[in-house]
Amino acid sequence: MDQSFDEFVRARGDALLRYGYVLTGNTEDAADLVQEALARLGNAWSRVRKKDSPEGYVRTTMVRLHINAWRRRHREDLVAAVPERGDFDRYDDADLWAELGRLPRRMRAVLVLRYYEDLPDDEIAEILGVSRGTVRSQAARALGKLRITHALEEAR
Amino acid sequence: MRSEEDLIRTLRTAAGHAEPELTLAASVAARRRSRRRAGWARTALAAAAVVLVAGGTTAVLSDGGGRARPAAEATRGVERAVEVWPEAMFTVPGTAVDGREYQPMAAISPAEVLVSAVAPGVKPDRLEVFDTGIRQFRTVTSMPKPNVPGYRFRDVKARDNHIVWWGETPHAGEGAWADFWYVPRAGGESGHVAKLTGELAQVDAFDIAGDHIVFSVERGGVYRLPLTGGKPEKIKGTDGLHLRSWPLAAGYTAGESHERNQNRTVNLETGRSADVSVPSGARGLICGIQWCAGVLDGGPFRQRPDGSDRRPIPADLRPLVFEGLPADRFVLGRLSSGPVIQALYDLTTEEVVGLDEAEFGGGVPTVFSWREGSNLTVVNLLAVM
Repeated sequence: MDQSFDEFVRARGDALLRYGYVLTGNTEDAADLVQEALARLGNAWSRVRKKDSPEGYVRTTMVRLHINAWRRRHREDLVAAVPERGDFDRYDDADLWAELGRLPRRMRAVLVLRYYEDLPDDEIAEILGVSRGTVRSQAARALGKLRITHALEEAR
Repeated sequence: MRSEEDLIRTLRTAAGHAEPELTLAASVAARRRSRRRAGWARTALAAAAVVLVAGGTTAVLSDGGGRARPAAEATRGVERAVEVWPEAMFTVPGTAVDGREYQPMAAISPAEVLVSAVAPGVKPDRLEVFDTGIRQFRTVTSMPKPNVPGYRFRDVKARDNHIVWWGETPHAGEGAWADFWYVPRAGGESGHVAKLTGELAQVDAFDIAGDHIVFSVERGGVYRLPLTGGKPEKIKGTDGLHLRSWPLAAGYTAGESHERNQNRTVNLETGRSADVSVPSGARGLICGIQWCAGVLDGGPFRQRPDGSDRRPIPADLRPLVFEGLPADRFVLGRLSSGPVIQALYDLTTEEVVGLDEAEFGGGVPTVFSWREGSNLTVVNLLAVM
């Protein structure tokens, strides 16, 4: 059982770290988030492997952990206040990345699920445990804050 | 204006900045070994409070699996709790006779620790006290299990003859609620005190004051609620204040909640307010009665509330922000290098004491624990001499 779990971790670890990075905005929190979600997946491995997609399970766990379990630590945004800027081909992208880091977690998560994970709003709603209307309103507010026009909105 | 394509490109480019973690599998395995998940909002640093970042960029830290990185000089000499505080440490069986797993939640005196008992895979359903003097567990109460998916117990406290705990529903904002529970310290049947909704459900700290629960909410404001139930009543003059331990509350400078500085301490019984001396450039300053700690000029520092005795804390300890200093004496942080992951800085002795991957309960931690085989090793901060 554990052997196949370890294989999953090895095969998918880097992709999950990338997902964690866009969710959290920094390497340290990304690593924590991935480790925590994988530890939980590992404990539920036999059940999840039979019934669900381990990848879906761990990604859903990551976003829920990020929004809910860490929410109480209300000084949590300090790290996001000094995001790792990294190298962007376009200078404007670095600005946008920095502004993403200043969004509330739930709002940012909605954008990551929609524009990085490319999920439809009803799936995002299911993952976050909110209504589709809430997803749409959160996304609209987030895009507004980032001064992004809604060209792709109709496709949702 | 930007387009959604700009956002997609930015997210994809940023994802490429993620650092591969060579020892991820080992880190995950270590985390699985060292912890058992349960309904209490327990945490190790991994999923813990925010690290107060010293300096302008986030440093990459070592993790449970020991991500490859050079060890800094400063952490080589860190002694572990077992070596420094033998008087505050004890070992107990990790499970009760009925197979439930013990999880230390809070120190309630130098000799007593509140422990929850958790059946595998479910939320805690029994509260016990371990008395180190007689080395025995005593059952306090059975804990009701609200039939709500994701409900989490947040924190528990004991004062005088009372024990109170609270929990909350997982989804903030939409129909979120929190509730308080009471049981006499001597034990007995637990009672539901009150269910809080709306802003009042955003509890950020609580304590017990006589026959009342007192709590503050994330937006600020301290409320009083009779242990026998009823409606919470806001304590006059507490706008913007956050409860520490009764009767003390803290006021903050304006700003983001994690960066703001505590600039006054108010005694809610007497109404006396004492200003905290906040140095220019400080971030995340938080004070107990005796001490304050925060980040200044890129490094962690400590001082007395009046600004005296201001000095740096060892630079590789990155303080975690809580709603108070543990036992009004310690700064809990994460070591940015070396083999020890988390540590407590003792403000009175200036020692840095390693805690490895210890877990701690909700609220401001007073007890740390980790599993070693079938046993549980516990540090009670109230017992540190």
